[in-house]
Amino acid sequence: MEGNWPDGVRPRPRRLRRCGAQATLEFAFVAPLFLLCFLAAVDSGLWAVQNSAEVAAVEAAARDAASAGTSPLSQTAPDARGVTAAIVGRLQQSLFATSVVPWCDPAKGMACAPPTSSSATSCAGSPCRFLACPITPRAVEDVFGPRVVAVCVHEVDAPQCGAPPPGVTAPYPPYCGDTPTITVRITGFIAALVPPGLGLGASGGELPTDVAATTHTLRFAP
Amino acid sequence: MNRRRSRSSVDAQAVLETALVIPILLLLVCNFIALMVQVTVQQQMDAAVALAAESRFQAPNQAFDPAGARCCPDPRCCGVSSTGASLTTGGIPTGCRYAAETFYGTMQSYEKLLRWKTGPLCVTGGDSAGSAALGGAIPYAQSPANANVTCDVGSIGPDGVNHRGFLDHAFNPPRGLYSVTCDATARIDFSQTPLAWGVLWTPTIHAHAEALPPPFRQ
Repeated sequence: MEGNWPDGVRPRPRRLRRCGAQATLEFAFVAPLFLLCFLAAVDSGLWAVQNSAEVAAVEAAARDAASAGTSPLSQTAPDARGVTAAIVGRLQQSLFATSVVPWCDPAKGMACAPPTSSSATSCAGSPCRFLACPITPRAVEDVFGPRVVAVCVHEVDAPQCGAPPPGVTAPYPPYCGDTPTITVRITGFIAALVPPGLGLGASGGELPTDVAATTHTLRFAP
Repeated sequence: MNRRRSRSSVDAQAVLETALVIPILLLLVCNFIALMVQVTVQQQMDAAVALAAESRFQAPNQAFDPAGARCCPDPRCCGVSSTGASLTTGGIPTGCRYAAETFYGTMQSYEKLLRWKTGPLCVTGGDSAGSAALGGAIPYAQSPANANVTCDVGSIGPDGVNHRGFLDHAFNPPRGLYSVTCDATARIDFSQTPLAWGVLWTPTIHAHAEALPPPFRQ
């Protein structure tokens, strides 16, 4: 009997071969799509976990930063390094494969940001970027690399009150008696399962994030 | 002839299966992602109202905004220019403006996704025993009516009138304790996102927060 077939193996019927090919084709078509959907679902879950941790962290950080720095008489908010140290423990656990850094000059021994002078235009050089929060997640990546989120603390003080000009009611200038506002922002790129080329991050494996909390703070006169 | 027909029916079945399974798969994923977004937005809104309620205490009890004061959105709270929808806060407690600035500044991230249910910014006199909305609180006379957040704030007006805050009987029962409450409600509108084709629901989320005055102010 064996001699009836070439190589001694009975060939599969054509119909079976066609079915096998069709199954392979279907699998080749559906498998990547299924994998993409599966990764998207997993990734959105991871993103939600990471984002929730960030929201909780900025809320806590805003309270910390609004607590008048080192003493009730302090006139400035704690800098980003101090606030980051306060929240990095709880944040780092959720932001797996992502580094958390303060939005400060990374050069050793340097202040977080250059000292501000009376004229805002006098600052020059790359450290000046740390005077304000990064506008986009890309700005963080430019300084610290991929899969890094930066914690930024920004305080806005109301202008000093002065004597109003004739015909203008106090307070002058408007809002001069307001307490400062503190904004804590966590921005950058978090690690994700996004494949390269999907256009969500600068490179693959990351998603942009930008979470902020703003609050008023109370300053006691020294 | 019969064999050919049988084969083509198998092919058609496979195509039909694929055509059914793929949209369902994508639909499930889209809705799962939408659910994750909803959870995240809810959490951000919870944080925003909590900080807003606490912010009220950074303003003096007797401070009222002068005529012409405005906020939200504006450059001070949100880093953007004022719009026609910005709030006019003249004649209401400064603490209300602080709460609004905190809320608007914190909720910037999801501005394009949310359709707010607007209401009065500043109300007075709610009671936790009341069954009406916001415990029966009524807006301040000059409160803007188009705010994304509503805060129940007590204060002493320039005319010496004591406007009560929200009386919560859960604290210091049975007399209760005056507190500050903030509420916000919004619909999440996915129609402006890539999820629009698969997410056919628009969930409404609500956040409520209450802040007690610091001990030195009680």
